Amino acid sequence: MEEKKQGTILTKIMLIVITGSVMGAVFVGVLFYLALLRHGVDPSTALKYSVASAVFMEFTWLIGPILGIKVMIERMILSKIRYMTELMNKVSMGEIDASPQIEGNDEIAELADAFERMRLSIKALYRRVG
Amino acid sequence: MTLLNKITLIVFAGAVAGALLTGVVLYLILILAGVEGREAMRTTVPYTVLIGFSFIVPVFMIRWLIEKFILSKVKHMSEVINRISKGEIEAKVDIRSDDEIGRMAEAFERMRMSLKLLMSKVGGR
Repeated sequence: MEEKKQGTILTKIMLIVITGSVMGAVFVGVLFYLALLRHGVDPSTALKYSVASAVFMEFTWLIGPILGIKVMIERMILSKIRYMTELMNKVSMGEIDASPQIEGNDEIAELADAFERMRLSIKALYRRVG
Repeated sequence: MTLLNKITLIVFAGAVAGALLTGVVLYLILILAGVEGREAMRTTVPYTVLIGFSFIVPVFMIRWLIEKFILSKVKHMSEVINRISKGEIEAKVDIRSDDEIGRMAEAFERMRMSLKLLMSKVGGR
């Protein structure tokens, strides 16, 4: 429930991507219009066809690649960042044995490794405090 | 492989598929508008190539967006965490935004504060 009120990076990225896709659809529409004119199709028919196909392209992009990009960012990056946030909250509340379980050798895995090193030194510190 | 390259590769494959689809649509509307088949094909191929090349722009735009909004900040966090584990407890994460990264930075800052408290206790002995 609370998660929904909070902002997300996806909104920002998707807004830009969707704007870009609309520009792309307009570009494709203009190209189609020019292609039709070159073949002697009369302007009003050419306009009708190119607008229809630009709208069609925009819709296919929205349900295909744009949705795909959204899911990809969510699954490959954001879910792991949320997981790390949870872990940091646990460690700061004293659950010093919360260790990150992230595999791979990308940027997020690097973050998890750095965090793990820090956690181990905090743990050593805890022992000294007793 | 870095995340960015992985995502770029997938987006690029998608762009190629998208350009091909655009070509098919162009061919169909040319036929629909009464252009003869071979003539339509001759126009479709160069236009599809042109559209394919223009799709490089969004591919790089998406790459840039992910880098700017997410990965550069993740790298910054890793750096700060490394500095802290080397004892630089004053190293701060300089990120303030209402999103996943911002919340992670906040959680990290809370953790850093409790760590600092702990360290001052140890130092006192």
